[in-house]
Amino acid sequence: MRRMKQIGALLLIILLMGLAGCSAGSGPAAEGKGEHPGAEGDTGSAAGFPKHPITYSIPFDPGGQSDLEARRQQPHLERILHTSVVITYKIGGGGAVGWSELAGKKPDGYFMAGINVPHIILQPLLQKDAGYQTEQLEPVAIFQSTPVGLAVRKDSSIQTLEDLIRLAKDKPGTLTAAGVGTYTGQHMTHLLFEKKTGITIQYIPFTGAAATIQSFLGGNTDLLWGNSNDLVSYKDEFRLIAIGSSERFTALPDTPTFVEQDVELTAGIDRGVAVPQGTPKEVIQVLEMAFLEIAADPDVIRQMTEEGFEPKAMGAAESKAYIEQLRAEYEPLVAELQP
Amino acid sequence: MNDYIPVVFEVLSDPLNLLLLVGSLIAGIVVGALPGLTVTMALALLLPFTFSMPADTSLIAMGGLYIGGMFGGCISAILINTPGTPSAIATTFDGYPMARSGKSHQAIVTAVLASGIGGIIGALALLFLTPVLSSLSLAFGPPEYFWVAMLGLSMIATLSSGSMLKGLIGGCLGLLLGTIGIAPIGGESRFTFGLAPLVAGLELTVVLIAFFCIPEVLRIVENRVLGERIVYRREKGVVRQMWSRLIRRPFLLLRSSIIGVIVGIIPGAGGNVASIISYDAAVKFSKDKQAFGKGSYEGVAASESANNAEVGGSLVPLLSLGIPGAPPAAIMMGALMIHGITPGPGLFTSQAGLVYTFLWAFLLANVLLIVLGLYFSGPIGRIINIRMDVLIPVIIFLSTIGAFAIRNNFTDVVMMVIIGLGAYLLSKIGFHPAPIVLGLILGPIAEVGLTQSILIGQAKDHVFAFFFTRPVSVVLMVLCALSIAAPLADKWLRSRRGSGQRQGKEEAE
Amino acid sequence: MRLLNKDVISAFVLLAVSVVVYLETAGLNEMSAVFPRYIGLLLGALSVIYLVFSLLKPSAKGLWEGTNKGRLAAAAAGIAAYTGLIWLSGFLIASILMMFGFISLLGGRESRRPLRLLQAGAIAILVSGFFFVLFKYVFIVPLPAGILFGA
Repeated sequence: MRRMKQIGALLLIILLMGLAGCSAGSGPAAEGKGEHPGAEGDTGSAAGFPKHPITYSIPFDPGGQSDLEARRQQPHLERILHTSVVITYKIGGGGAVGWSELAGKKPDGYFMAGINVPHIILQPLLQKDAGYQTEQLEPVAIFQSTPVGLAVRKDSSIQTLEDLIRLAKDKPGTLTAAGVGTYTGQHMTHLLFEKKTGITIQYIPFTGAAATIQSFLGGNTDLLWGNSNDLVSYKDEFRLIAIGSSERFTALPDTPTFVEQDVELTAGIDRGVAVPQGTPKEVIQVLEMAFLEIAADPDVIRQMTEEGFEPKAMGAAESKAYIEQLRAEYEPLVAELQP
Repeated sequence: MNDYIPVVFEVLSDPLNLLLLVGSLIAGIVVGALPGLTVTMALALLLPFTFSMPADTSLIAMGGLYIGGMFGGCISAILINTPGTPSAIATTFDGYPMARSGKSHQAIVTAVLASGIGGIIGALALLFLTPVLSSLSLAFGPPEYFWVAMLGLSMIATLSSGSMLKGLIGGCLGLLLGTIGIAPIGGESRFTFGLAPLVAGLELTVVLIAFFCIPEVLRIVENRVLGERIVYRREKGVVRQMWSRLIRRPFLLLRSSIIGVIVGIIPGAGGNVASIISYDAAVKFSKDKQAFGKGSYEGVAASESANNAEVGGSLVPLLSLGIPGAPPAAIMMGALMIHGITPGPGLFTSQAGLVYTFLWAFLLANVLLIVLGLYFSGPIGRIINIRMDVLIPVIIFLSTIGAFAIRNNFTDVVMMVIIGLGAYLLSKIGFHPAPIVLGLILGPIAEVGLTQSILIGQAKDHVFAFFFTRPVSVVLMVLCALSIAAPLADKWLRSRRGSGQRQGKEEAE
Repeated sequence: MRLLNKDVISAFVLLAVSVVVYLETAGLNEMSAVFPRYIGLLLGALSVIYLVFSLLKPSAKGLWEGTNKGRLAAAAAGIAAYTGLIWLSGFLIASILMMFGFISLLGGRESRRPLRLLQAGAIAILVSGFFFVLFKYVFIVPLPAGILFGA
């Protein structure tokens, strides 16, 4: 009798797992095949790529924005590429572990990883043991941008960027600004902002967006560097004094840009996907077309905009040129940081 | 909120939702029990399926998975001395000794009841106290994090079985192990000696497996206890027996759950910190301190009720401020966003029906957890009955696959073996794993709090005041002082009463 | 009562660790260095106390006293070999071999009878296989395939 119960319990668990597995593995792919029977001709050109499932590696925690983005794309990718796309995680070192793995993978297009700009530029410049070089990652596409904005609390005496600059000039180094991480996109934005305005503000790094916002709401810092999506969620709590997009940001129409307020600063974090250097051009092209098709999907564009992102559709060549241009901009700044 | 009762009842009486809740609870327990599989990972796998579900259904499924996973960690902690999730760390201290003395069933029943009750208290706090608690979560700034970590570290005095000096040295070693990799605030990589795999730092789960599992395996093999089985004492009325024991200690469960809720609402301090602090408190308040670490059911109950109450607590900042208190809460936030719902201050008014449905489902899930857990506790407890020569390779296999799966990194497996052998050597010399692991868990929290406080303090020209005068800091400092003074005073009193007895004990160490 | 007992040696090793920590932090920026530096100093101070204590009151027990060194070494070597085997031949094969090896070696002479060996093989294949499928296909963990099989 007891043995029976034991076996029963085990069977139940196996059954559950099996169910979850079947649906996880074949669900979206099977759906996709039914929907798009005619698209085979245009993607099958590059020597039949892809022949088997593709791995899409995420260098950040499950549930992070890179992961959410990949999960949004997964069913579309499976539909367009006619194969399953397996999302795995390689976490650590602010993405460095995942990108060094990508750099060492076989360049056949069956392994790609999400990339973040400017992370992939800054890490090899600043860490001697980052484990990869920027040019070892061949960008396929950049599909999303998150402008960085500057906010104060509602009860702050600072109303505009001008107020802030005046206050900071009066008492150099006494204002504090919270941001995510050291030598990251937000940190660089902070340094560029200081340089272009000639003021000094103490940058306080935090370990993630949630910790930054919690501490800022608790009154521990005067200013907050935030990604647009977070700023959109908190637009009633914060007063946004400037945003790093080149034009007014769709989701935050009332927030002026830095440029409008005479500070030549555009800053943001871009998300894309890359394959190892040396991947054949035709293979990159197949992946590029797939990502660009998803980027043009009106539903995807609408969702991204509502969540506070700026949808982008940069192809392989454009992404590469963009990364090169940013690297040229950051190199002198980094050289100043390192004595 | 009474207006929402009909909506809540309608959703929760839907058989499909109930089935999903039970299924996700069981799946969560399995995921939690296997070291290396995390609730966060399971939630991420579930995420694409929630796109097509209604928002309430997806929240119910995710909540079930979260609660089940938090409980599941205790199973491997009790049976094989390896916490399935880092939150079950303090459960190993007494759960495993209980299992070794044939009381695995009692240990699991205790864990089930404590988890369920802790979870229910956490859920009630979430349901009724969210507005009050959310302001408390904002009161925690950098110096408070530093003092919370110090409070946890003061526990080394309690945890050092044997020599206090060795406990302190072990704590330092743990703190140093935690600094390997990129500095959280300074941003430079430290102690990597040029090795790229070390840049990401040591993964807590890998170190936990290395410190708790590998030395135990070596000890069992070396002691030739293989052929024999642990005598599993088949007893009747275990559930009633444990229940009546726990109910006679209402303050134990209540105190542990409150600690769990408070730690939960502080973003960044997770279930592992909750279970450790609660275990420490249980030891300090107990009249029979000597029983802890040797198989005390109170130790299991303290740890498990705290880490399940933490789940409710970690959802407080998510629902009230839009700040996820823990990684699983971050994924639930992602799921809400995809349904076009932005968690934040307005959520309780704009989405009241959804929020209250979720909260009641959360409460129900904890009740179901008790029912399911008690039903399966017997068969699970009997796993210990497997012959040791079969169990040992299975443990090695599970710890290896777990060490790999946590970051999909083979280097972690190598690291686990090296650290595991080192841990065995250390315990031979008299350095026990608990203080080392404590240092590793709390080190990063302490470091982030310390360096951020210095930076802010310098900018405002009052580093000292920033550290020592903020109200919550002062409370935490007093707790710290009490926590250090209490065992010292206790030792002093004991030595005055009977110095001969203590002498005898020390020689046996 | 040897002067160079296990405690004295470990005290010296710990002192060396704290020196290495101190030297390593010298090359870092202030915010990266402050925490490990002070912990390193604390460790150094504690190690000195530890050294003094173990010189004054050396423990009588040797490190390996009462330990079956042979069995211990075999178990440690077995775990290390398993790791090497995973790297070489992938997770599934390595796990089956490790489990079969451990079960047939640990159980004593009795366990090497044909029937018991068969039983050990069955357990090894079933348990490894079940968890391999669970991790690889349900939780999508990319388990290593082993360099022998081109990964």
